[in-house]
Amino acid sequence: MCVLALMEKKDVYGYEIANTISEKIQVTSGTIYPLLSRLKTLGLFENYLRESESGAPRKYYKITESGICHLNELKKEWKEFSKAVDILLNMED
Amino acid sequence: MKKEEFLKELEKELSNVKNFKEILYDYSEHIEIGLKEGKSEEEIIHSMGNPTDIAKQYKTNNLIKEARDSYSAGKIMIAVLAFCSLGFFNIVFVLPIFLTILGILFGFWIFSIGTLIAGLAIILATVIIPFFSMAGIILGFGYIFSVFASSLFLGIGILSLGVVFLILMIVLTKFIYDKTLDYLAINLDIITK
Repeated sequence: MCVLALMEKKDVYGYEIANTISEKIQVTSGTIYPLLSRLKTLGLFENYLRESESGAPRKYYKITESGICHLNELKKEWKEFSKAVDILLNMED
Repeated sequence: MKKEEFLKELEKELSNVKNFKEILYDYSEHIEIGLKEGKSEEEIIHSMGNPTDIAKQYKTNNLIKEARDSYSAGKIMIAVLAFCSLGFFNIVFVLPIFLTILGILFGFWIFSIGTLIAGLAIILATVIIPFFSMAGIILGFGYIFSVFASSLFLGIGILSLGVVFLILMIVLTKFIYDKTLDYLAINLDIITK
């Protein structure tokens, strides 16, 4: 979900995804790539190569229609889930 | 660990993964960009984690995909085992549950095949026995016919029950097969965020 949310805002490259996520959540950046390849087989985004300012082409990730659909679904589920948890945590007997 | 070392190790671990070139490309790109942003080689490699673990993730990905593409008992076993090798939690919790489900499923299979065989045996016995017995002569043919008919119907009944069980089992097995793979995929995403 976090990966797709990043792509929704703009096309991103692998390093950007790995870096942004591992800054916020404790996860080794090495595990982001297997996740990306799994999501790609589901057709949630596409890859293309683009030259960077510094020369070498970078692999960019661009979210697809079905990726956006999937993301909205996940967002909805997450909101419902976190709302339910909040209610449970703040419940007073 | 240095960049070259990391990539070499990863390549070795990925030797039987189809698209390993693309994977290696992703990682070397990642390291390159990190270097350009002023991070040290050690720091980047350290943040990547262990190449063996990375390779396991890719292998599990592929195994789940393969198992999805073709129904095969061997493939799903391998996928589950690969998944279990990813972490302690999986071995302790997932494997026993999977094996239990497998055991129950196996029991049901034996039961439905047994029912099928029982039905067949009754029909066969009903048809064959009168030829070999003197019962017909002693008890009269009318009596034999009524026994014959009820026995035959019993056989057909049990046989059809067996067929229904068998069909249910095929549907159930497929369902469990798909659900197991879904479960593995979801868990993989949770583990790796």
